[in-house]
Parts: sequence; C-alpha cells; structure tokens
Amino acid sequence: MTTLLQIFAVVMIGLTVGAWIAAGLGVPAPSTADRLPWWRRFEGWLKPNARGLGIAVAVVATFFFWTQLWNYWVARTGERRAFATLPSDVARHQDASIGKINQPFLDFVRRKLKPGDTYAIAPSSILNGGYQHQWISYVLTPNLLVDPEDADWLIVFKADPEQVDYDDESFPALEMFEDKYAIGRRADAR
Amino acid sequence: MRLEGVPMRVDLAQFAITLLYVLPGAAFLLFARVIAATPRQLFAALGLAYLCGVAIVMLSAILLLVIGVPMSAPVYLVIALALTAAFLVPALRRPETLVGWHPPRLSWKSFREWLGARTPAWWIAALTLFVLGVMVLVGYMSAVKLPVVGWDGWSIWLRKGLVLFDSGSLPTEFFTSAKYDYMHADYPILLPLWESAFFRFAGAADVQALHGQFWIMFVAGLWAGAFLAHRIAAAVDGSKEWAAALWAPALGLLLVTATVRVQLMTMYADIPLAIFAFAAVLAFSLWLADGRSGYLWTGAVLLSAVASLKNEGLTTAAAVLGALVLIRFFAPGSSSRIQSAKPALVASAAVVITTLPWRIWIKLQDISGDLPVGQGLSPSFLWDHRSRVRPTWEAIIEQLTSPGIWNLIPALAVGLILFCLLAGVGRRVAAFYSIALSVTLAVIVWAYWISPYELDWHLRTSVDRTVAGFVMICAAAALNLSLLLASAGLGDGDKDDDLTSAAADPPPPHD
Repeated sequence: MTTLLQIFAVVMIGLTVGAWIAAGLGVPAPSTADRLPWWRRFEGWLKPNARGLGIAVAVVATFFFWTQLWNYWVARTGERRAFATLPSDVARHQDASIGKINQPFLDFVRRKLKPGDTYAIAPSSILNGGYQHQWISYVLTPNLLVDPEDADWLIVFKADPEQVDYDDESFPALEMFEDKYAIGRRADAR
Repeated sequence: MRLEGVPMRVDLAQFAITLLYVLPGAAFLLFARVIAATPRQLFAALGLAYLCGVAIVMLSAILLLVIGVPMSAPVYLVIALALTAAFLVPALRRPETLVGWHPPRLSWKSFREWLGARTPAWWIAALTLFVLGVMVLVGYMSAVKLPVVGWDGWSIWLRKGLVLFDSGSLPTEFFTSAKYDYMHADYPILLPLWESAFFRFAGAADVQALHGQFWIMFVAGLWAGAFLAHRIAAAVDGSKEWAAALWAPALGLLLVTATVRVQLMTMYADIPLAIFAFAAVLAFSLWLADGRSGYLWTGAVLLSAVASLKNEGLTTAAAVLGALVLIRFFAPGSSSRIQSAKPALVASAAVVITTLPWRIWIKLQDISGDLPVGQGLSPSFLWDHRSRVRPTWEAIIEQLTSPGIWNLIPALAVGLILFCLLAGVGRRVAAFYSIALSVTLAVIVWAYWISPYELDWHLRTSVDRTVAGFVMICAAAALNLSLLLASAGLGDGDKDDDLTSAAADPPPPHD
C-alpha cells in the first residue's frame, strides 16, 4: 500500500503541475533584468522563477501528504483497536506503569477519600517533586495534599509504617492495604 | 469525580461545546468584517470561528474566575450567548452584512453546470480534501479512545483541569501550595479551563473523550489555515481554485506529520499554542497585505489565546507583535511612521490587557515562575551561563532539520523567506515572518540559557515541544509565501502602498 501511494503521489504531482500550468501559473515571467542596476538585476533574475518555486512547494506537500497517508491510517486504526475496550478509569491512570506505582492501592485510597478531604503522604521523602509525588497527587486530585497536621488522612506509601515517623496520636489506626501500603484517618476528623 | 452541569452523552457534549465556541467566534468574524453573512463564507470560516470562539469565551471566563465568579455549564452558556449577541447586533445593523444572504437555488441542472465549470486544480483539491476529511474522522475516532499519557499532560494541565472542574472557582490553596510546586502554578490557565469546560458539558471528567476536543481544536486550526490561505491567494483569471491544489495537500501534510499528532495527544499546551499562533500569523499577514482591520483584530484575538496558554506563548506573542509593529513602522509609502504602526500598537495593547487578569491574580497570590527572568537579563549572569548556548542551539537545529520530525517544514520556510526577501515577492510579509521567527527562536534559546534545570535533561525532555510554536509559524510562512510566489505577477500581488484606506472595507468575496 505504501508503494501504491507513492506512485499515486507522483500521479497527483503530475496532475497538480499540469493543472497549474494550464491555469497560467508556473510559467516563468519574462525577465527584465538586463536594464537594471546589479542588485535589481539579481532580484530581476530571481523574480521570473518565483512561480516555479511556488510549484515546487506544491510538489513537496503533495508528495509528503500522499506518501505518509498510509502510515497515518495504520497508526490511527491501530490505536483505535488497541484502546477500544480500555475502561475510562484505566485510561486516566495509564502512566502509573512508567513509575512502577502501586495503582491498586491508590484506587483503594481514592475510594476512601470524600470530596473536600485532605491527605498527607508519609514518608516525607516521597515529596521531592519526583514522579511518585506528582503521580500520587494527580491520582488523588481534586483532594488536596497538605502537611500531616492539617490532613484528614495519612497515606503511608512504599514504607513500613513501623519505620515511618508520624504522629500516631492523630492517626491512631492505620489500615494496611498490603505490605508497606497503609492509610489512616485522623482521630478527630470532620 | 462527581457529576454536575448538564448531564448528556459525551458525544453530544463534543458537539455542544464546539457549537458554544463557534457561535461567538462567527459573530466576532462578522463584526470584524472578516466574513459576510453568507452560508459559503460562514462554512469556510468555521475553523477560524472555533479558534476565535475558544479565545474570547475562555479569556472572558478567566476574567470572571479572577473576580470571583464560579464557573458552571450555564455560566459558559451565558458567556457564549452574551458574546454572540454583543458582536452580532452591531454587525447586523450594518447594511452590508446581510447583502450576500440569498436563499440558495438548488437544481440538478445548475449543479451540473457549476460542476462542469470547475478547473482541474479544483478536482485535485476536492479529491485531496475528501481524503483529508476521511482521515480527520479516523483521527477523531481513535483520539476519543486514547489513554492519558505524557507527564506534563497529567501533572500540569489535566491536574488543573480536574481541580477547576471540581471547584468551579480558582482554588487558592491548590495554586499556592508548596506541595504542588512542580505543576507551574504561574502558567496561564486557558487550557485547563477549556478542559474543565468540556468536563462540565460532558457531565464527568471523561479524559479519553477529552482527546477528541484536542483533535477538534487541531482540525479547526487546519480549517482556519485553509480559509486564510484562500484569502491570501490571488485570483488568477477571476478564480482562486488553483490555490486549493496547494493549500489542501499542505494542510494535509500537517495532519500526517506524526510529531504533531503524538504531541497533540499528550494533551500538553504546546500544540494548542502552535495552532493559535499558526492562524494568528496568517491573519496578520493578510492585514499587512491588504490593510483590512478585521484581520488585525482576528490575529490579536488568536494571539491573546497564545499568550494565555503558556508562558512561552507570552514570548511568542511578543515576538509576533514586535515584528508586526516594526514592519508597519518601516512600511514604505506611509505619511507618518507612528500613524502607520498605530493599529499594530493598539492590537498589542489589547493582547497585553487580555493577559492581565491572570497575571494580577498570581501576583496577588505571590505565585512566581521557576525561570529567573530578572537574572536572565543580566549580562554577567548570561556570560556565566554561556556554555549552555551551544548545546541548546545544536539540539534545536537537530529538531528542526531532521526530516523525520517536522517533515522539513522549517527548512522550507527559511528557504522561501530568503527567496521572497531577495526576489522582492511578498517582501513585507516575508520580512514579518523572518523577524517573528528569529525573535521566537532567540527567546527559546534564551529560556534554556537561563533555565535553572540541568541542561541535558531539560533539552532531552522538552526541546521537541518548545519548538512546536516556531514550527507552526514556519508552516504558516511556507503556506503563505508559496501562494504569493506561485501567482507572482499574475494576481494582485504584493501591495506596498498606503493600506489605511482599506481598514473598514467590507469582507472580500470567498469563492
């Protein structure tokens, strides 16, 4: 199909150039360069060929368009097939795999958080502006990431809760999702 | 994500919100005398109307948000209808607006006669446009199934879009929190607000369907390009059909350029910025060529969107406006240079004013960007960081000249600009593009020069995107100048006389 479209592109180029020449375009204008000073002569030498350059652009555009069309078609239809049955929730969190993030845990956290609830993340070393920090706060949007003392929830991410420094009076009970992943609600939460 | 607004099927939302932008945009184009109220002109200008509509609705919404008005689907509807009425009422009061409005007389015989009178160039363009239309539909159908990929797409833009959808207002605690430092809180919010507006009409934050909106915006850009290119082309023997055989494959080339599609579907702001810049410079070049003020104001509206999409958009807008003012200032045949440049200066002031609400809000919230702009103007700072210039330049040039990335569009544009400047064909327009592009490129280099980030990483992760605006201005230049060159000496050509008398002319015919 690529070869076929390359041949078709050449045919289209021929037709375009033919159509333009038939319309009076592309034919070099008569040169008036002989009667002018040198800088005008240079200009006068270029000007008659201007129409040809216009045609050259049409040739390039026609060639590139038709020859890349098949790749475009294959890519788009391939995408459509690949993602046709992708659930909306997975589509939103596709990039979790890049950062090797425990997305099931974050989905679990999302179900816990109510609109307007705030949360903090422990250990604080995660909050370094890196991928994990950005990803967790994106997934939990629109809930706001705050300091632990202002948070309704504490999320322990990729760390042993026993080893994490947090205020266990404010967050007395942590619910373990799996090893190194836990969530706790503030004791006096709203 | 909670449901709110007017619940409706997502497909219907795609259509409804597109109409929400097209209506005020078309009314603006009628008001600005860019188009006449004929079905043909309204159809031809649909893409441009969409882009203008997005700009004026979103800029109005930003202003309302900043002064504390919460956004909802009904509020967007009121904004769109109010803007439509504000532009349409004065436009309809002008006697010439409805002159071209005749009920179409359709008959098989007249259609056959019309078809028989078409030139070969028309048939070539019609075939190309038919295929283009099919590809656009295929592109849309795959876009609405795509997942969210691209770090900045979700971390900067979509994050803000989701928050704006959820809160309806500007959540100060979110924008000012040090915990969200990485999301560039200072970036203008046109794009996230536009995303949140779609979510409102869709009734939910459907991020897959949101890709469809990005695709619609891109197609609107191509459509606007077709409309403006057709206006740029000179009539040869009373017909512009020859021009369609050039602009149709040229715009098709943009459609099949893989880099454009890939970047667009990451939902970053760079391609939207580039689309608006593309249409804006074409509109400005029309103003430079024939002096109709409607083109100037159309360009200014589009450029306001550019400046409100991203911080880089602000510098791109400054580069384009600077070029416009300079060209008008030094335009030959003007009685007074200041007088000649005055409309461009007024348009520049208008663009600046539209960016103020957001800039004032972030200043009041003490939000600042990560680029040390103040230091970046200090000669000693620049000297100390001079080692960053060469690798930046090399990375940019590699981006712009590798055939597989941007389909040689920048090289083509540079060649055409040089030829036009030397040959004296469309020299004014070529000079405009050359200044705008040179300054845009210089500002990109400068941004990397003064950036606080490690250079290799910064270039590796962003240089393909930061040149997008530059490339699309190159695409506009190549399209514009090739149309001027192809008809050099045959049509009206490049007019370098006093253009002020054409400022309020009625819209030109659009065959």
